[in-house]
Amino acid sequence: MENRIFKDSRDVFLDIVNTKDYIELDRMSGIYESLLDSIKKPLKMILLYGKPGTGKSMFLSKLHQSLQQSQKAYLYNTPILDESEFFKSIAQDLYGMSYSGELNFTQFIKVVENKDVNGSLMPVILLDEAQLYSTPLMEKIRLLSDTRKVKFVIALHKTEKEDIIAKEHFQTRIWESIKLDNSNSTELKIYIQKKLLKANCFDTASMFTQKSVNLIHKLTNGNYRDTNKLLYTMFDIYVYYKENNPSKINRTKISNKIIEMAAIHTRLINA
Amino acid sequence: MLNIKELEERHLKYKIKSYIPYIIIIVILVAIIIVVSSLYITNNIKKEKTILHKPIERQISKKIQEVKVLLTPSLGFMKRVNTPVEVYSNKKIELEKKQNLKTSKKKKRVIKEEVIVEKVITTPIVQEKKRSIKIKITQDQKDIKDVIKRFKINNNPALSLFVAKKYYQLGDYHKSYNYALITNQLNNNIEASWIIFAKSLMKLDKKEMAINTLKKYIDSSHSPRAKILLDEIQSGKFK
Repeated sequence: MENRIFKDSRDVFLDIVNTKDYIELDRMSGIYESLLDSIKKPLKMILLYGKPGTGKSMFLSKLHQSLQQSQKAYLYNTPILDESEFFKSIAQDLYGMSYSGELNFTQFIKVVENKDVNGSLMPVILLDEAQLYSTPLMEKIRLLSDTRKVKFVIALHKTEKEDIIAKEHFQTRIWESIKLDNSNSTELKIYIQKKLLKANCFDTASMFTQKSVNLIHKLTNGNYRDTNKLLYTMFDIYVYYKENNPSKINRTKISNKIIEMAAIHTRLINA
Repeated sequence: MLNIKELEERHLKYKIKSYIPYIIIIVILVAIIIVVSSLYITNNIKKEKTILHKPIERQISKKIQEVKVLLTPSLGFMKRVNTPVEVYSNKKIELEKKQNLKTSKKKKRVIKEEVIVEKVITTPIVQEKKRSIKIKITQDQKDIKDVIKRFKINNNPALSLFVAKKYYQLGDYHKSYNYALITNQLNNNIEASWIIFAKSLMKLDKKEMAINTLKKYIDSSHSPRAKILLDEIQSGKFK
């Protein structure tokens, strides 16, 4: 058990989007609740944006999981860049219609328009990494949302280019625009400790002081993905020392040296 | 797989690199402190030197002034006063010699002629004497004015004493009394000043006041010169 503590702690920070690993933070919970409320409203589109690693994918997964219990909700984690494949996938998911040949937009929009929808139980399509969709396809998604037969929640990175996309295609149609930010130092400490406690890693959770979290925050800017990457490497180093040189480990608190070593390895520090 | 040894080395390099700016800043600060402190110290040394020099210079200047007072330009003046007299005497001797020669040569001449020769010789001598006195007075006045000017600038009691002495020598006892009084007010431990003061009083026919002043001064200073002067006044030797 003693030998596994660092290995278990390390695996907690594997960069995998799993709704079971979703950590509820006060600010994120507030945003999540407002997003759920927005979906209940008769709006056409919801834009979820933020820098990479701010938890958009995790947020969409959690939302997808919640919506599935009450209505039709489909999450597309990876963009389907081929238009025909994209429409065929949505037709399959929404209406159980499978197409062997090509399905163009004109054919698909006719199918959508002919379907009846019950008010707030409008099916929801969640599109992650939407910045990868082409501009014509985004235009067609906009036209689909105009039919009021299907609702889209679009998650994209907040960059200058994505801002332009948002303005050009969705300015008049977006009813809700939600921004996700990096965490602050306090939130990051809660995030790390909650994640470890969820995996019963109580000892390692108590090793994180505010000082060590401040250093992690300084290195990662509160970015969840970078934090996961850093802490995974950090616990990997702890595993090495535990096996090869246990005297180098201080069990009472996380070593700044090991944090920095992990940051060098993950290129958060250029050394 | 992590290469911990390599990672440790990279971390060590990173730490050294991260400390370099601080080390540079510290070195610069230390250098600045050293430069500033050295400048400060050198300035202080210079100041100390000047401070040390000033009293010495003052002392020297005081001494010079004292020496000046002791020597007084009156000596030079006296020389100047003496020289014409000497010239006069030499001339007189020469004239006398000439006269003797002339008289010896012209012994057999008429007595009237000798009288005429004597008259001719004596008259220019008297004229020369008169001229030399005028020079003496004007130079004394100039000296005194210069010294008074200097005294007004720096209030040096040595200068006022010099003026007092000078006026006394010139017979202006009222002024010599005034300047001796001023000198005593500035410094009441100058023996010469008290003596001039008392002498001036005597010359102004204030014998009682002179005696009282000297007695008081003797009580406080036990000055032998003052005692001698007092004895002279009391015995009537001083006139």
